Amino acid sequence: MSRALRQRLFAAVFIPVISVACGFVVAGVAVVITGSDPLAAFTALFQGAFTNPRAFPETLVAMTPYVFLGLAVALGFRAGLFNIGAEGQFYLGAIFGVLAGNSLPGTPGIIHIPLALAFGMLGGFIWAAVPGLLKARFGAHEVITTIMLNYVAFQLTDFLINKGPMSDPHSTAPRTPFIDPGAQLPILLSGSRLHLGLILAVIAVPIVWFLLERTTIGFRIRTVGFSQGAARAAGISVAWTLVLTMGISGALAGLAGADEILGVSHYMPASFSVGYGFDSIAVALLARSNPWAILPSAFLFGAMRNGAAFMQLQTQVSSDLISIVQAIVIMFVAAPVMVRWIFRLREVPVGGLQITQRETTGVSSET
Amino acid sequence: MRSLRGIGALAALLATAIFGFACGGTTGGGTSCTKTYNVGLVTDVGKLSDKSFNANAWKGVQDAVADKSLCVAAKVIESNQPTDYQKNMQLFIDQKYDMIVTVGFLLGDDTLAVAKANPTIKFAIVDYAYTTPPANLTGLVFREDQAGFLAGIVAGKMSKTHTIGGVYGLDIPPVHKYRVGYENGAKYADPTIKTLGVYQPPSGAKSFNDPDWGKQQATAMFGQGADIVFGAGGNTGNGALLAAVQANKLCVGVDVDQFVSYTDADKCLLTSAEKHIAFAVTTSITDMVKNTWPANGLLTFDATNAGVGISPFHNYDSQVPADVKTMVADALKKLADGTLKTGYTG
Repeated sequence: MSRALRQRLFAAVFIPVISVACGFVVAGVAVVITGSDPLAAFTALFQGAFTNPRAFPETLVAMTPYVFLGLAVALGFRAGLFNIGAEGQFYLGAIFGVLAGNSLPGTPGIIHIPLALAFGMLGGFIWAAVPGLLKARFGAHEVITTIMLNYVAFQLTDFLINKGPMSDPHSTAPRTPFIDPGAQLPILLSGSRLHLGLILAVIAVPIVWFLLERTTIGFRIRTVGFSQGAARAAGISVAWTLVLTMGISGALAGLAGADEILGVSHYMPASFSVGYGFDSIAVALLARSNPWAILPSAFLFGAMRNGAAFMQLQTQVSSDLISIVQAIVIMFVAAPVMVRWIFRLREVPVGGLQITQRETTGVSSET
Repeated sequence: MRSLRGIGALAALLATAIFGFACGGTTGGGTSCTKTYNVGLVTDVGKLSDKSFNANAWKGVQDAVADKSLCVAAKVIESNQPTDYQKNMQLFIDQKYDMIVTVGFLLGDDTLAVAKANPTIKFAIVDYAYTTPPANLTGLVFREDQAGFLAGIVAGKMSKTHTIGGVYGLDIPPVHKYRVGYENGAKYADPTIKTLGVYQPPSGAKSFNDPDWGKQQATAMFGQGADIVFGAGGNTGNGALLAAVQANKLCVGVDVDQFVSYTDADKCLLTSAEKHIAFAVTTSITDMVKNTWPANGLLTFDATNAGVGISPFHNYDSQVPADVKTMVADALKKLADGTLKTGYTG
């Protein structure tokens, strides 16, 4: 094994694994402090995520949106964009997905499903392209604009489903009507909620990888992410690339939203998502913005999210514990220097790592 | 974003440890129990820390556990997202639980679906009623008009300007009941009183969550001479309470003892019109254990069964005259025996 390869492997595998381990250690300490048994808690977390009846398919269900959203955030990172608005784009995708899923009743699924998913992508695309345009045209920082648009998305949803134009008049709870049965994603495993979305998510990974690594657009995205000045000197339209990257990123997040509606909930409830889009920033960081690495990263987050309920049932440790794990993971992944310092490791220069670091600080002075 | 929440959660866990009440599961069951009944609580996304419906429902479950004669053991699962509701109920079902309690109307559809699929397990849902529920599902509902009536008596008696206000959430049945009861209670205490009141318009986006609007409305009412305001509408109502704090007026809280749950308003809180959620949950669990499960799928909590009432006066206890306290106790008795009506019909 060459030295360079070993170094790359180290950065891609070792740091994430160490970060996750540290996350669990700190969370374990918190469990001890509250007077519970961390071993019992983490055993139950594992059982709830993998070995219980229904657990494993549910982990895959929880993983699915993380894949799409992780890809969305990672794509932005690669162009030097910090798309913190995945949550809002997720909402818009869901709204558009419900709209399409509710209209055209009786349409066969083979047409209705792709249409509704495409509509969801459109919703996310629009919601993310706006900050892209604002950045390209006026230099408005996407961190600010996407955060703000998150709130617009939440309030818009509240307006639409809480006795608004999209609410179900027959329901006392604020929600939309159920989508047309023809628009529901087929279930992959009978008796579970595992739906076609998982396969779509798995397919999305090589597509995004191909887009990034093997196409002109991908080359532009990466070049802009590496250095906007160099990209401009090479004749790449930085503005156009920023808008397009944000748009594609948003479309992926929107796809996640529509997929969640068509596959799991079949209607849009109040507080549709609590943090999927924000967690996905951690998913992308842990994967170091590598599309392939999004899969294990999303799997881990899906497993934690799914197993947390059983952990609480068994040990009564609050399911919020997993957000401690996630927080520590982000800290360690975002600060690899700290990991090196703690474990007395030497500095290893790796391109991808630098990109991740720069993007988390959100610096892009050249717009 | 999430990382901040994580650190917050860490801090919260540490805090609970320091104060020495880890939110552990409660397991009861004395030695004389031939069978232990397992009860599971599924919260909505507000989780146990909401200091309101979820927290009180869990207290009700714990009260049932503490009553050793019931032989109840209980666990809670907090829901992170709406798609968790059915999943979390299913976790309890997989563990062969005897009864599942769910909290709030957000779980209405899911509770119905799961209850239909599991006819041998009992289900109770807080603050929700069905028209034709299956036999194993009970909705726990409250006579908000009676709670409002009692609070109205206090407000009517305590107002020096003979004008009281009320800032309400959307005009939906529970809110409407609170208002009718409150205004009629005030008139019962002081026939000449002037009552001001406004519902939040159904604009949609900020129903029950527009404290600024609530504050504005309450301030306007103070301008019209009101010296007490009733805030009944979630965060919108809380805005009215804040206005009272700032204007040095009195206020009346809603649903739970807001002196405990919303300390920002302690300075103005005279009392709160309460639904006894914990009591309702304990009652329903008792019904399950003692095999007295209601046949019509509904348990109504009102003055007859101590299901509604008003909170202690706390800071204002010494200022509320004894005759007012007697009048409230008397009205509660009369509401219970039916000789006094709140004026709410339908």
